[in-house]
Amino acid sequence: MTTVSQEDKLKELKYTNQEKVEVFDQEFMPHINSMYNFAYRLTFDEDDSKDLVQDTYLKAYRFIDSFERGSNAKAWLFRILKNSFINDFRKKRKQPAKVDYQEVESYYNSDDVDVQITSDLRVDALKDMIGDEVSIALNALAVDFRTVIILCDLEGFTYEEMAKILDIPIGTVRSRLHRARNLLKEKLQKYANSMGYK
Amino acid sequence: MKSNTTNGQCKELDKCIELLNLIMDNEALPEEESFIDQHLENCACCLKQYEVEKEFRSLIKKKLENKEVPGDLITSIKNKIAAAH
Repeated sequence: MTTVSQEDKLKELKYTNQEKVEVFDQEFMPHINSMYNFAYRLTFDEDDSKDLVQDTYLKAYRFIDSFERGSNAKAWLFRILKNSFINDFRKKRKQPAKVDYQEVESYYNSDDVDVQITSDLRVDALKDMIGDEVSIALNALAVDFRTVIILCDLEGFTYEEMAKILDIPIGTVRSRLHRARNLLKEKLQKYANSMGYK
Repeated sequence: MKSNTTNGQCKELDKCIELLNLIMDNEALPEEESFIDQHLENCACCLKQYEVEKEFRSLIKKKLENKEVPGDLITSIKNKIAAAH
């Protein structure tokens, strides 16, 4: 026998079809640019990014009754996209023919990595850097590190929001972000050295 | 507060960088903010690092280019939602 709790009944009745479309158009769609760029910075592939974003929006629509109108839609969508990415990534990992850079990253336990800090990165070296070099350095980071930099420095999420998106404690957000920034600076430092900045 | 440096480098540089970033992320506790305020008055190394951290953030924010969302993606999502009704 199936029992439906009162809470479930209320959830089922939360929005009419018209309200669902309104919530979707007014609260979800405005974030599509951030969503697409997040997906692209995770996958580095336009088709994969489109699939990931589409999948995320369809899931968001399917579960729209668990979304509280006026609450943090962007963080909610980012969380769904991150989970979809992890699940798709796991599926791909089971296919030996599709081994790629992410396979290597899966061996990388981000929270155990000790980072040597770089203290000789100079402001003028940073000022002279071009976008391509910053992209290459960011994209070379392991996905866990890359993600916290995207969420915090590009998208402006708070630590609390990041903790919810990533399902990790705030203390881990803080330490992972610190390590991620140090790693990124280290990569930029190497580039600066190669360009003659000492 | 005395400067805690060796050969011009702050002995607590890593901790200070973390605190500087917490402050810039608006996530620092009041005691962490006051520690850094006092520390920067006497530590040229961390004061210099503060400028580096600010430039580093600006670099990420301003120089990473966003890709344009493909037009057919939005159409495709809307069509699938319409079909779900």
